[in-house]
Amino acid sequence: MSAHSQILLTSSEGTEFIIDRDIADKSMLLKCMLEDIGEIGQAVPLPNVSGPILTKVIEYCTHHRDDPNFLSANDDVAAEIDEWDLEYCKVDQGTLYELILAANYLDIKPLMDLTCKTVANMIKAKSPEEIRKTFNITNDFTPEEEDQVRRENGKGSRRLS
Amino acid sequence: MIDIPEVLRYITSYIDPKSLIACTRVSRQWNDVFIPCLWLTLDDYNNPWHRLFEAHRVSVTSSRYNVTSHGQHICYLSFAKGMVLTAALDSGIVIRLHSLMLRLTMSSWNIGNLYGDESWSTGRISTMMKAKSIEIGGHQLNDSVPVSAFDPRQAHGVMTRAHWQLPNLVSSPRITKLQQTAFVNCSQEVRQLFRVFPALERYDSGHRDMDYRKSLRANEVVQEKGRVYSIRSLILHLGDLTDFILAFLDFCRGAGHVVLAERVTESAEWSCVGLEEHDIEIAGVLRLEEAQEDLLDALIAIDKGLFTLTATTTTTTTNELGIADKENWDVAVEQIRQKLIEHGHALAPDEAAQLDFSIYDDSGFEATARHIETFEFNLVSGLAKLGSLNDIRQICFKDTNHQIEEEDAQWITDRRSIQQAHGSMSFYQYDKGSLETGRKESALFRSSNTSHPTSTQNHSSSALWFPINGVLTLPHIFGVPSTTFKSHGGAWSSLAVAATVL
Repeated sequence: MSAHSQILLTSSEGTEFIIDRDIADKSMLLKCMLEDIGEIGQAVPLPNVSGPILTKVIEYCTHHRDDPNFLSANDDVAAEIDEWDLEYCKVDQGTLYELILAANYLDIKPLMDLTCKTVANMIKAKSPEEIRKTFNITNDFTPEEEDQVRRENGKGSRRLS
Repeated sequence: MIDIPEVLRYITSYIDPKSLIACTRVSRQWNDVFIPCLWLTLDDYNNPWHRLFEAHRVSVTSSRYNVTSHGQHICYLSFAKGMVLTAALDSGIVIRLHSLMLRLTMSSWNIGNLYGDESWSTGRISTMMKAKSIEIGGHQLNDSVPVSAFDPRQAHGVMTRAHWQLPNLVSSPRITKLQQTAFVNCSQEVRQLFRVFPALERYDSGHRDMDYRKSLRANEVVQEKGRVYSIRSLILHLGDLTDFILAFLDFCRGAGHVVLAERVTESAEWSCVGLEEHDIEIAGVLRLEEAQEDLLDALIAIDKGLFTLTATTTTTTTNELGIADKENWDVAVEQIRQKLIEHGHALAPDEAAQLDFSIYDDSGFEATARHIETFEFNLVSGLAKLGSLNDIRQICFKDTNHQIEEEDAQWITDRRSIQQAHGSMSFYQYDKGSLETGRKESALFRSSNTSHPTSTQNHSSSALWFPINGVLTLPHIFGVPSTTFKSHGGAWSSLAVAATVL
């Protein structure tokens, strides 16, 4: 099987994407699927991934195409995210979450790590109120509940630093 | 959008513990998602948990409150304060425990002493462990349990029944990882230990606190790979050969185990152990940092029978690369990989990712003496060992401020002829300032010479290497300044036998 063979993918809205086999192999889901059933020449449907998100995922896989450390690239939680990846993640929050879901579905661990880390960095060292602001979340605790949560889990992140 | 619980769940493992606390206070939904994650590991030593306890002015009551509220989430319990256990026991809902880490010695954690009533606490532990077994069943119990509680000295030399209660109660047949802190000179107890833990794979006698995240990963591996009912990895941090260690070695007989032992090289006693007969490979990790140990594990793991990388090979390699600090470690790893590739042992990317996961895979895990390329031993044991090391190309002698005995000199002389027969080159390391080079050499290699060339003073800290036969020097071999080979304060009992090939 040639490494340069091409794979046809179909996004949720039916858009077709032709990508090289080695790009597809970055996704463990596709890799296993292709290894199991072989290249049957038919499109692989990806009902959980929209066209724009799939484009974005392919962009990531293409950029890291020849990266020998691809699978271990983002293993280190504390490690800095490289410049391209950083730029890649400068998307609206909705896109970011969809990327997480797509990375999980397609089983692309480095992308999963990258996107989750990006969200984690948005949370890091913030107070609950700041987190709510960042993610536009309404505080739906009653005052009593809030008090209880505070008692159970410490009096606040600031004091726990 | 982030209200998709799925997305939240994915990111939990990327969030530091401190931020987790803030996350639990954001909203009800976030609370639901992050509370289990926050309480997955309960560690009263590390942030933020110990702060939690302090903020509450730790008392049995308050900690009990905490554990009671969230005990069902706790899988990893690590504590030094007895009251945490009290709280866990009292709650009756710590039922998902995978790992229990007691950072206590027997003196502080005498089951009875904690509460003044032995029957009370053993009964309680029994309850907790029983509940857990029922809850989880099958495969994921207690992969990590330190048994500091077993130290008979701490129990004033008396082994009471209560001391054995804990391991007996925690479904010991499933325990594969064991780390303990104070267990010395007690071979009988070791045998007992193995009876109690028949599935033990990794035993660490060390003093360092185990990184729970690391142990978690290992636990997953163990579960994934299935059981190997024997010790594969034995980590000893003890210098002297005690009955305890001997019992261990005896237990490990015949399975090709690797023993990573610190300070072994400084102990003359090791010579008589007969490790070969046990089919045990021993590897000194004296100079390995934690990160280096990780790599060592990785290197052992990639061995698929083609080429066995031993722990000491790694040591040599790291020395060779002049790695003194962790900052350079990544570079070193890359260099080592490159080196492997040069020798036809390329590491596929997916293999690299699997490194951690294959250490417990016993397929191809074959470590026997014939593969050893680098060896560090005391002189006498080296003598016994060298005959079987057919691949040896070089011998490095490492010397510090000690006298060379007649026997040593004789040994070297004998070995020299072996080396010459192999057509290889040998060299030794010597401290500067002891004697002039020429005299030093002649003194060393005069057979049965009674003079002690190192008995002079003013040893320099930087080692000087020079060839026995005047042909080869260290920089020629490794291409690095000789100062990267630092002697580590051992006596002249420390001898390195190294091969050129890697």
